[in-house]
Amino acid sequence: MLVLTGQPICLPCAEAKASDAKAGGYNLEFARIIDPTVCGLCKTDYGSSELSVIGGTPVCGNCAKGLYERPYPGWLKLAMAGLLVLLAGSLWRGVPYFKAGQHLVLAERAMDRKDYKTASAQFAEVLKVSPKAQKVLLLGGKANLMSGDVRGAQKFLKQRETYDSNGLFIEVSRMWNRALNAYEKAEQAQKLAESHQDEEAAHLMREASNEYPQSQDLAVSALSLEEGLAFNRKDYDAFLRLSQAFRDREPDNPMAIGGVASALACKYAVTGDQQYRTQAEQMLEKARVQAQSPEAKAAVEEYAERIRYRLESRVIIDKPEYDRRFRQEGKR
Amino acid sequence: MFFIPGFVISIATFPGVILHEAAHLFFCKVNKLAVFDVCYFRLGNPAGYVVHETTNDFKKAFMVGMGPFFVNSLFCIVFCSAAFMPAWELEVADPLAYFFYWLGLSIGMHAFPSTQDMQEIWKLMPGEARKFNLLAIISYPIVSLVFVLNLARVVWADLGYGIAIGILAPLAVFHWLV
Repeated sequence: MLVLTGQPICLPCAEAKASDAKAGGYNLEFARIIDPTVCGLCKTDYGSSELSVIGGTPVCGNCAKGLYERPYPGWLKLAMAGLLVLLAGSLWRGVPYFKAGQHLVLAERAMDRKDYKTASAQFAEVLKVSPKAQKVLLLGGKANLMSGDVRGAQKFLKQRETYDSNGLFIEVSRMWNRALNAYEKAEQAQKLAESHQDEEAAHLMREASNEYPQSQDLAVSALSLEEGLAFNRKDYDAFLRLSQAFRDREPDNPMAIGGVASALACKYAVTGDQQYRTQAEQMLEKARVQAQSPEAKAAVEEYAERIRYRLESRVIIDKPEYDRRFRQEGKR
Repeated sequence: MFFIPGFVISIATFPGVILHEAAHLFFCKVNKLAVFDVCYFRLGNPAGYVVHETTNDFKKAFMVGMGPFFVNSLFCIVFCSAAFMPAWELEVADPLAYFFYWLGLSIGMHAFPSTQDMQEIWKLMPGEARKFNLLAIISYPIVSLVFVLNLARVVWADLGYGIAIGILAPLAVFHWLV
């Protein structure tokens, strides 16, 4: 039943009046009569007992229970349970991913503090799970290039045939090309040195080292060639300075320490200052202690003999001349 | 910016709609509000609904209106957690990871309460705030933000929100934990 202007009206009459009104160009407002003794949901008539009103509708106790305790459908519970089981399984299966992610975070932190060796080791761990990830490969390559390890960088970069171009890719490509170019120059410098074009060789090696300053090998090669040049032109101050720079780069290398001993011996030979001699002998002893392998021990023994001769005689001669004079059996 | 009909988005992200309505129902039950009708998903506007009893209790209105926002956000983070590392960080083509990504982002996209969801909160909030109801006071910025984000759905703010909490939140948590 509905009500119109305070009078009850049944549904068919209300519909007829509404269409008449519409035809006449106006609207009528009907309101629904709510009987508080009839349940609005199950339509049960409870006689004279008034029902509680929920959301504007009289609802009996039986129906009210259903309104407050509406259950979730079975398919929803099943789907949620299935998804949660799948999620748990996926998280369990994803443990290696999380471990790789941990290595990745540690690698990136190492990159931030410029600890490229640690970063490279961490990136290598990530590769075990994610061998093709562009970001990992490029950052791993970059870490190796920054620590002067071109071969290490190559191991990362060759994992993929192609890369998507982005800022990191362009940066690493430039570094890679610069490193390769520097090593090409170093190879040419080596050839020049072999053909006794010492000055050109040293110049080209320095250029290579400047182009790829992260490479310890190139820096040491450049210093070594420059040391040779300084010795040849009898500039023993420069020889000492360069040999010390070499030793500073490789403080545990017996050859680098021997180089300083050689330069100090030259300084003693030309000045007679006993201090240089004492220092040269200390350096020789240090080189002897540092030499661990049979090859290193043999090398130290070889140059120690020449340096001791220089200290005893105060005569400066190079290895070929020493060999010619004192090592009749030739090469040792 | 490109336009995709709402029903297509609803179909593609239906788990989010279902969870949103299930969350409404959950908070109605928790707050002892009568529920007259529930539709978890349909091809129409709205894609799902819960018809429930109104209340003058602000806390209840807030929980029912905003509940799905928190539930969907939480489930988005949880499901994306299983996916963000292989799919986003490690570039591993793992179908299960992509499935959880879709699921998580679908759920995250439907986190925002609709304007209808917020009507009751909006109606009760000023009066409650005047009574120094702390929840009503802190609701102002939350509801305002959600209202703006709701309007920004036309520029894919819902997807942006899903990505933000589904990718950036797990990533930030992971970085913090390591």
